[in-house]
Amino acid sequence: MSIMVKRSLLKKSGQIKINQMAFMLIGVTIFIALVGMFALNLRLSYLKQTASESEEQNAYLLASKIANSPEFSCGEAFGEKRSNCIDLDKVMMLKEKIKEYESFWGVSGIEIRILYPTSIREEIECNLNNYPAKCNLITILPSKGFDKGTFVALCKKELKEDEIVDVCRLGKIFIRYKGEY
Amino acid sequence: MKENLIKKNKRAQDHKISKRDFYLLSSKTGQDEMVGFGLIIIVMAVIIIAFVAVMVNNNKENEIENYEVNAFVQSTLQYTTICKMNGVYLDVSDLIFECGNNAKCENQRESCAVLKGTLEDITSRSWTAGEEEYVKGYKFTIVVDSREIIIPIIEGSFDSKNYRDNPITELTKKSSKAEIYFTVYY
Repeated sequence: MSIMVKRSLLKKSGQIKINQMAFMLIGVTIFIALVGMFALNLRLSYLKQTASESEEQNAYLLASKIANSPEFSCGEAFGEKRSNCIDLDKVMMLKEKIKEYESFWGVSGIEIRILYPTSIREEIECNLNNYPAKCNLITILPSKGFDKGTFVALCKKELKEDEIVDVCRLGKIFIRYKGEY
Repeated sequence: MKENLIKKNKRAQDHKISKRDFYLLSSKTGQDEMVGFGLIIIVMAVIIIAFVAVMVNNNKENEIENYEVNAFVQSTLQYTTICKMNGVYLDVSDLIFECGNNAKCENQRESCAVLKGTLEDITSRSWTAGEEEYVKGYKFTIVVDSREIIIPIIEGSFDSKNYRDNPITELTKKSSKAEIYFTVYY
């Protein structure tokens, strides 16, 4: 081979090697980028699950907080101070004047359901005439759909055998966040 | 002389051919290196993905919150039963201790029978358990002074590894101690 040909071949050899390295680096970069995107996708799906569990926890805590607020709680009206206890008489009075409390708790919906004992299968809204024996639903603030609810004791003073007794039932209070969905 | 020249030329030509071959081999060596490096990168990427997958799976095992179960137990303990003693209708928490003493209600019903019936009704109304339901099963156990006072209330299956239970609820009355255990399987 002539020297000129050899020199040109050597130059091309170096250029070819540089091209090879460049393509390899591009390929490696794209591959690492794909791996990173895959890992990020996995991480985000985990974050979504965590966020969902956190929202559920917040809903439970908020329902519990409202149930224990002075407007709802039994306080010491039924003997010793109770937690997770809602005074049904208080709630029915609150329901009558709810317009003054619409934005008080920062939620868009509050509902109480009487779970036990009740023989009523369909939803019957409670009013001052039929509660609590002939109804099973107390809508404080109406809303379409609710977040999680928490169990509560629903207590009331009732007349039994000519004496006033404390009677507690099992129910659930449901809360709806404001501005969600 | 001529033969020597011819031989020299042939050797020279062979030498040139071998240089060409050598050049070709050198360029192919670069390609081989590239392929080898690419394979190393692929293997490293697979290892990294496996590591990330294991890490994420470990992080998914979060502590399950028990607010709902705890609220259920606390609310159930306040439920007023049909058992009357000394002119007072007992709630579930008081009835537990009376059952521990094998006492009878004023209507001559066994306190333990009233307690078991009440708890069975309450749990079945509050938790719908079944294979196709979100709640697969539940178990309600009450122990007074280290003795199970009623047969545990069980519904559904307990094969699921996901469950929620209340922190042990302890009640004390006079010298007796009651422990309530409630576990829900998802």
